[in-house]
Amino acid sequence: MVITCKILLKVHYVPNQGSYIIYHVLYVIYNVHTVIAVYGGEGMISDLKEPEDIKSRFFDLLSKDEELAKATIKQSSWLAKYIWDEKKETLRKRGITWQMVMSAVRNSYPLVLSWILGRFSWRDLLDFIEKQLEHMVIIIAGA
Amino acid sequence: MTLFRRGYIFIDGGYLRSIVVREFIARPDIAEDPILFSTFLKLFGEKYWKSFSGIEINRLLYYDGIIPSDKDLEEHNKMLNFFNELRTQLDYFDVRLGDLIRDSQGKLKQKGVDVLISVDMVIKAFLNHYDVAILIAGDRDFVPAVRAVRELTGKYVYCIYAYKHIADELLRIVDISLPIVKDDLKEIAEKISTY
Repeated sequence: MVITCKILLKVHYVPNQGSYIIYHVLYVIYNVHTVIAVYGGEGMISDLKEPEDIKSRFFDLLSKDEELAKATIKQSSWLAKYIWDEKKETLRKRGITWQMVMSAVRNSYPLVLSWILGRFSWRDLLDFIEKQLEHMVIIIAGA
Repeated sequence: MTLFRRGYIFIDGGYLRSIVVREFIARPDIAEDPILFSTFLKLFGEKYWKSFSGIEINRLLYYDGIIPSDKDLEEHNKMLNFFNELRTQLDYFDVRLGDLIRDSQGKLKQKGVDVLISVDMVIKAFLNHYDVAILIAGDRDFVPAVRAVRELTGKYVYCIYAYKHIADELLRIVDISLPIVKDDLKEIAEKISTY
C-alpha cells in the first residue's frame, strides 16, 4: 500500500489542476495508512515471549569471552531474527521491513546488553524496540 | 510531507551525571558503569530529545572531564576505558574530553569542558552540520555561544535542564527549554536499577 501510493504520488504529480486534486486525495490515503500503520491496534511485538535460552547463552559467553559476546550481541541479527520470525506478518502489515527491525534492535544495543546481564526487563526492552520501529515508520512515511 | 530538522545533542557530562547520580540512589555506580550509563542515555533520550517533534537526531556529543595522565595515570586509564566503552555502546555518539582537576579543597572540577561545547556548537552551526542544537547544560557560560548560534546563523537552540539548576540568562535566551522531570528519572531509575 505504501509503495503503491508512493509510485502514484510520483506519477500524478504534474502541474495541472486535475492531477493536483488526485495528488491530494492520494496524499490523504497515504497518511491515513501511515497513521494506521503506526498507531493501529495493539502493540506490535509486546507479547513476544522472552527467549530465555538465548539470554542465558549470551550471559555465559559474556563471562567466557566478553569481547566476542559483545560483538555478537551488537551484530543484532540473532534478536532481529527472533522478532521477525515470530512477528513477520504483523510487522509487514504496518510497513516494517526486516532491515528496519535490524536497525531498531541495533539501536537498542545497550539495553539488550543490560537485559542479558539481568539489569533490564524484557518487557521494557520490547517497548523500546517498538518505539524505534514506530519512529522509523513515521520518518519513512513522513507522517 | 514533513521535513525533519537535523538535530545535534550537546551534553555537559558533569551536569548530567550530577543530576543522574542524585536520583539513582539504588545504583550510585551508574556514572561509572558504561553499560548502565549508555542504557540510561538511551532511555533518557527517548523521553527528552526524541520528544521534540520534527527533529531527526544526527549526532550525540558528550563532553566531560578526565583526570590528566600526568596527575593520576591509573585513574586516567580507568576513565578513558569508560568513555571508550560508551563510544562502542552508542551509535552516532562521540566523546570530547577536557580536564578534571582537583581544586584547593580536593574536589574534582571540570576545566575547559564548557569552552569545548561552546566552540563546537558555534563551529558546527556555521558549518551547517545541524539545524537545532539541543543543549543539556545549565551554566551561564553558554550564553554567548547560544547567542552567537541563534543570532548569526539563525539555527535553533533548545535546552534540557534540571529544575533550579540552570542560569536564568541561559533559560531566557534559548528557543525552547525543557525541564527534566524527577518522575521521568525515577521511572528510568526503576527500570535500570531495581530490576
